[in-house]
Amino acid sequence: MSSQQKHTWFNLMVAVISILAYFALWPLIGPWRAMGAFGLLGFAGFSVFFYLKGKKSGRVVSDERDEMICVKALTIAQRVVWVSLIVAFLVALRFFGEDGAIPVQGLSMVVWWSFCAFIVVQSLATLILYARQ
Amino acid sequence: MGSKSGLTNEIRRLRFEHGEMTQQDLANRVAVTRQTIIALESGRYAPSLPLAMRIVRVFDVKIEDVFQLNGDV
Repeated sequence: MSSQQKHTWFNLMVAVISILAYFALWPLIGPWRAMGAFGLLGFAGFSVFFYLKGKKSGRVVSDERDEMICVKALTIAQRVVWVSLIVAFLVALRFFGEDGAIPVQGLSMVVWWSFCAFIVVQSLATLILYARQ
Repeated sequence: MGSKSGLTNEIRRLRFEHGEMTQQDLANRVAVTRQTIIALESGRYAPSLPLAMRIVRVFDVKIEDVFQLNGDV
């Protein structure tokens, strides 16, 4: 398994744990305050350490194939999140009406879920592309 | 091995003809990961031109001795 695959599995795990923590906290503190669980997504930043071991040993940790897979996965994730944001906008319009006001918590909910969806889709796309290419 | 791109290669055969070179040895010499060599040999990945040239240089053969393009182009 390459460093990028380890990095991807780690990010996917962090995103899944964040989602599970959100749904675990929801009954206890409500849907808005439970968004604090998405703070766990910050741990995704530690995935960079998967590249350090290989770099220290002088091994090639990433090459043109890894870069190509990364770009493709990034493109897929961007498109999915873009469509999700449009859907969120349409749902909000339907729910609140043309003259309604969207609560600030609602906006932050959309941002957090979009960020989470981005990590999940990018990770899944990366893993599928590694299996296929 | 064949691939979706129609590019086949003789990397596996050439490795064995060059002192049973391991995939890791070849990967180190052309500055890629072993996974990329595996993907190349199984035909799942078509290399860039610079990578193809580096591989050819390692085996000291012509590029068409390593890579062949099959089908209509």
